[in-house]
Amino acid sequence: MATSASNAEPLELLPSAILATILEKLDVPSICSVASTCKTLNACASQILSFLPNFHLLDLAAPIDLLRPLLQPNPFLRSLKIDCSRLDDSDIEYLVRPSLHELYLHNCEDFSGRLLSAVGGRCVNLRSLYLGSVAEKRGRAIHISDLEELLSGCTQLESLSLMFDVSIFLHHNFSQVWATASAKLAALEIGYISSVMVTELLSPTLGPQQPPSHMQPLVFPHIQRLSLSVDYITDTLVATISKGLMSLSHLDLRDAPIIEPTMTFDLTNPGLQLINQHGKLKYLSLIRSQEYLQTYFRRVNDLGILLMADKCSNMESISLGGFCRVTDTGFRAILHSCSSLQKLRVSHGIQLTDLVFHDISATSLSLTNVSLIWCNLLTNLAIVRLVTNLGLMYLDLRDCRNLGDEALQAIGMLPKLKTLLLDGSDISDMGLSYLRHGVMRSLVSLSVRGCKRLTDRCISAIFDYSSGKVLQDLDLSNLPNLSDNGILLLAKSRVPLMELRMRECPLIGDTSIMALASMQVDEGGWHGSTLRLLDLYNCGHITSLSFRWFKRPYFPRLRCLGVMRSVNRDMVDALERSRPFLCVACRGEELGTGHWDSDGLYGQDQEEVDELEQWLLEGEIESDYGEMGEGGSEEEMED
Amino acid sequence: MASPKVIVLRTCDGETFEVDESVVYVSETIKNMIEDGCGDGVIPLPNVSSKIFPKVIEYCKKHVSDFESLKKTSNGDEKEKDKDDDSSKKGKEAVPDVEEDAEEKARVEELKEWETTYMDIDQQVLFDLLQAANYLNIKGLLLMAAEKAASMIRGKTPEQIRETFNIKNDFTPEEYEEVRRENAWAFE
Repeated sequence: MATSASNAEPLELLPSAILATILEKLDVPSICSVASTCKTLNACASQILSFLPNFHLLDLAAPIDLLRPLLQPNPFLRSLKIDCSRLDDSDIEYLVRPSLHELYLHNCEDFSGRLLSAVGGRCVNLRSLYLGSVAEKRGRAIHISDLEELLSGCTQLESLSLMFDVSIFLHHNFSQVWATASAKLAALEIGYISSVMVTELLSPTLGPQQPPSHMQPLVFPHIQRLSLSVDYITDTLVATISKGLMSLSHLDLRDAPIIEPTMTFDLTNPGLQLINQHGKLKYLSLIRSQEYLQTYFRRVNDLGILLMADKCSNMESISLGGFCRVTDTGFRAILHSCSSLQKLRVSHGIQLTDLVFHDISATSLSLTNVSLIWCNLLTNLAIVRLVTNLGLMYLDLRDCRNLGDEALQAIGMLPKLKTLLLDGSDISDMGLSYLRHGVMRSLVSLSVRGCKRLTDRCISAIFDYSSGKVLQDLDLSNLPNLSDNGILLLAKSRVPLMELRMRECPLIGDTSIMALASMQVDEGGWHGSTLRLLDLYNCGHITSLSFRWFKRPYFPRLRCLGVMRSVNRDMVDALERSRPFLCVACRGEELGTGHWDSDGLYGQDQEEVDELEQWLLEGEIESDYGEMGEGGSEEEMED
Repeated sequence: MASPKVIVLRTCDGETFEVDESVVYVSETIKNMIEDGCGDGVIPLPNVSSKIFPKVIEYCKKHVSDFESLKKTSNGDEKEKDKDDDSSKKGKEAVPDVEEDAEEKARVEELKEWETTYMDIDQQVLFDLLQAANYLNIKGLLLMAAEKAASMIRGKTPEQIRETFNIKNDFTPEEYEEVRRENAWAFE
């Protein structure tokens, strides 16, 4: 596209109404950038801030000094989304505004419960609320009265996300408090709550002093979407939810047991049958996370899945994590019963094999998102069958160790693929070249973490002068043969990457950093990479020399950097001081929000699990011949 | 069926254009002028040049047919809503006809492609288009052009923005230092 800037009339001479229309479409950092260009645009930008409908600043933990001039009195502000890591109670007045319809506050560790009561008191028009990590810092108080003020104050609330431990509100009138919530509440998400509390909340119970005819009002009568993180997913929990919530269309339950669940505190076949009692369920997600313990839904097998699939023929999205005893029969039942299925996610499908997809082209399915994680029996053949779903946009095949180049050849034919995750698979450089001409035209995210056979040639296999220009996220972590030459090739390809991860690559060193820093992305000739996130944790040859390249003007858009602190503590400290909005992670934690890991997968050591899986499979086969009831569980507990 | 009425318009540099009434109705300004009774004579457009007017008409022609087909599908949607008793108040849960949905998707795709080609213009044309759309009150065109301009600004540093749009930095050094201090977080 020609940008004949020299001939064009200057932007700032356009009428202010038109300038306002343009600036209204910009994000807050871009508005501030425009404000720094000239006086006219500076005035225009200031004006915009007093009627901007959306103010979103989530990728940066802004302190109040930065936010104060930006959060001007603005009666038109409808949507406010802020990372509150550097804010506290004294800043509540800037955040809590009566005009708001949408309020998302992340990382509110330093706030007390007063935040909730303030929102309830002032944001009477609120439709959608997200509060993350409230009062998690030690010494911050939060009481059930705060929750009550929030719920009774926001009478128009339709969507509520309380992403913190709600079980702290354990109190004898917990149910009564929730009954004051807006009747319009359609979506509820809770960061953590015990399943017992949920069951009590949703079962209308008789009070001890009340006459038998008096029933407590139903809580959440119109909830359609429910997303809970609990201690244990149990039959009682599933039954109570399915029976009590008559409009439920989205159910998302996840647990992370810290001890092996007992029979009464677990999901079993009969429990699974109770799902979707009112027939409206379209989206179901049941995930047992391995975060604290290697544990699975051991009491659910094919029978449970078959009976569930029977009742769920309208399902559009199914996600099952930790159902290690389900075999091909169960998974095939899902594919064949749910003709509207678009999204399928199976993690720890230890017994899932190619047979599941054997006749998938005979179904009328048009899958768009498929995740098959830790399904080690899958081979290339499954993928060849799977890609008959040409509408696939999201394909997550992490830790399916037997997938190789043939699978990539099949994947190469998908015209709409946006995300492809191949962590830990057996692919080679040649396999990736199958992607170059087709898939790379649409691919936005690619991960080849831990594909140990890859070498520097994989970069030239994926990128050439014409392809890969829409790629934003690339994960090249754990590649023992990836060296600086590979990254030099990457820099030369001029792909405008936003996120690049190269964790634990022993051969990556200072040259790579230099190459990335001076990467020329635009034809306009502006140097400086587009990277917002760069993870170099434990890269073998990074020395303190690299730190020169993290200083301004290099990496101008970088917001997150992962390094090893031990490289040079002083330089890391100096960097943090000179770039206060750069988040430097030094302890090896994964960077970035919304990274794919939701099952605690990245915490696992791959070698270890191999043996565990073996043991599990052997254990399964033995106990399969036993009862599913009392006898079976006793056997397992002895293990 | 009556033959479509043709409206005559004159741009600021004296050129006249003949366009179907339904096409020019996309412009709120012209629509109001016609409804006020100016439709029989020549409608003057003092703020629009003959260079940019054809480009505007191209947009109007494309969106007249879209407007009509939109009327058709919205009638179809209404029927669907009556059928589906269980749909929530917002109508999100209403299950559309599979065929109509596919048609809709194809239409949206085609429109997106057309927009990309249409907006492949240089800066002067973009500014002319913005001003014309503003004067003629064609909301869709104004928003589309504004989005294009915004995309040329998004994510850039002040220096880069100045270069793209040939903006003169008229801050004094002290003023600029203050402005930079306030806003440096956004682009450094």
